Amino acid sequence: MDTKYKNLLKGFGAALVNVITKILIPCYIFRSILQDTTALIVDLGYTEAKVDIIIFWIVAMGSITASLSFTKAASPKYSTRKAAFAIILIIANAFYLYVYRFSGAIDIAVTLDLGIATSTFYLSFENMIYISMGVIGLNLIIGIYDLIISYVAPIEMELD
Amino acid sequence: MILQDIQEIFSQILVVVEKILPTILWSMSIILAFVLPFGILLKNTLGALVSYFPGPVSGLLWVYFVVAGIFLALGIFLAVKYPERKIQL
Repeated sequence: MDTKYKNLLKGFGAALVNVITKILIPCYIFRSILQDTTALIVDLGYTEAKVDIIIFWIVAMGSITASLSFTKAASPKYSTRKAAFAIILIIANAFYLYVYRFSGAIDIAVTLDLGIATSTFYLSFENMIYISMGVIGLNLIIGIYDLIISYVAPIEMELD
Repeated sequence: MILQDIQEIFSQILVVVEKILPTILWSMSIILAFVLPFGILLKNTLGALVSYFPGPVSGLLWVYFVVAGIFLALGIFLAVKYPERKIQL
């Protein structure tokens, strides 16, 4: 197969995976939570308005990360272009993760109604987000290192 | 006999713990020293930037689609125009 089509195929594959994992599955989960609220004894405190806000951010940032992952995957291996788009993708992923916090998706007030007693407790995954952000930050350093390497010491010069 | 067996099992467990404990402590210290502060810094920076983004109230979802479309078009253009690296390995 021509390299051109191979690159495009790789890019579309990456974008499709991104769309499924970052847009469709989260949207389906949040929508299904909203549908089953009457059937559950556990109320997670998600209102329709809150879920709409969450879905807005997921679709908005998810579409950007999907298109960026296409651009990254469609670039040739070890190229400067790939390193540059990898950095932009890492930043976009950080934004995507941040909007989970920003939209209120991770502040969950669980109300347990057992008939004879009702209790409410709050779950916050902020520390988990901080650690994930830290890992993304470390990835960013590695991405910048890759970019510098592709400029300063390209692999082809060593092999020549 | 049973006591000896238990003692042996415990000594084996201790050997394993002794081997993995430094790794666990190292990874925990790396998380505490670098990952967590870095995450908090990144979160604060992103927090300042995200406040400028058009939110759900504005109804400007198409802005994000336009940005995504630009990146997609750029990716397709570059993949078609320059499918190979400049210098081959």
